[in-house]
Amino acid sequence: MRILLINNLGGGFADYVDVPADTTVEQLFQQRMENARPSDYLIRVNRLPVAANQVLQEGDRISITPTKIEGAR
Amino acid sequence: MSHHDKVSLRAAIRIHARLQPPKENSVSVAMLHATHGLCTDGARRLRRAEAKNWYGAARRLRNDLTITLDQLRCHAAEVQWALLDSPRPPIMPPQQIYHDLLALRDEFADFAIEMQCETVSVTTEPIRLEGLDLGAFTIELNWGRIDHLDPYKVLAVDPQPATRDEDVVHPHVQGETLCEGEAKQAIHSALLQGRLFDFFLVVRQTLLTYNGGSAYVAIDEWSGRRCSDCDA
Repeated sequence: MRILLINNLGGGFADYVDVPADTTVEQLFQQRMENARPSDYLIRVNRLPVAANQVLQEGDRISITPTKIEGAR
Repeated sequence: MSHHDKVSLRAAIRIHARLQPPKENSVSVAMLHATHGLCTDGARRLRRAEAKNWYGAARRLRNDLTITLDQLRCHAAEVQWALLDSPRPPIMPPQQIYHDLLALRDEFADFAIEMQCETVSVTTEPIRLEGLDLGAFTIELNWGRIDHLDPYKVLAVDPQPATRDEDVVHPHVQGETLCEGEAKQAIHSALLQGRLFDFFLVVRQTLLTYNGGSAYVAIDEWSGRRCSDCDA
């Protein structure tokens, strides 16, 4: 199924990707973010906080945003 | 559909139209020229401040020039990118922008759209960094300038500025400008694609993060006394 995946880490990636049906939020995060910790990110589905075991649906918008983003001077 | 929803829909349509790429790259070249002019002017003012030993002014001008030079670099890259005819990242359709605006209303303490001013603004909850209360901040995006040098402002609702520099209202905000640091590319990407929810989220998370290694004023110096000899 096709979802919109947005990764706001670094340069920011946003595009439509194909994932297997019945993929959960947690599984998608582990596939795309490898060794990262979910607690270090705001993970939203259709802009709302969700449980890790929520099953993704066709057309869902998933965004992954670091909780800590360092500004500068 | 409520009045607020209608306003959000109208704004989404206008923002989407504003995001469409220009038919020529003349707009990007004009911005590059304008940024170059700002750099030249900034360098001249910095030289004058340094010659007159205006230490406080020179420090601010140096920071401003650093930011402008970075913007010059980004604009040069955009012009180069246009010349190479690289594929542009997808722009969100009006429906997605509309849903972003609806979600922002629930995500933040305050939310407003001003159609005449072409602005969308949100207000954060009060921000506290390592024991320092800075109050809430309003993030105001001007969609008419979404591809310009300064498309948004960060405004302290109840400013708690650093003692030695009242322009610094947050360790990473001087005046109304956030020094984006790690957030720069994500902010730029989100704005150019019309991902407004992501834009405001990234800016908020940047305001919620303290980077002691690169702050206009460090938190442990926030309430320091000004040195009368050197204005440091």
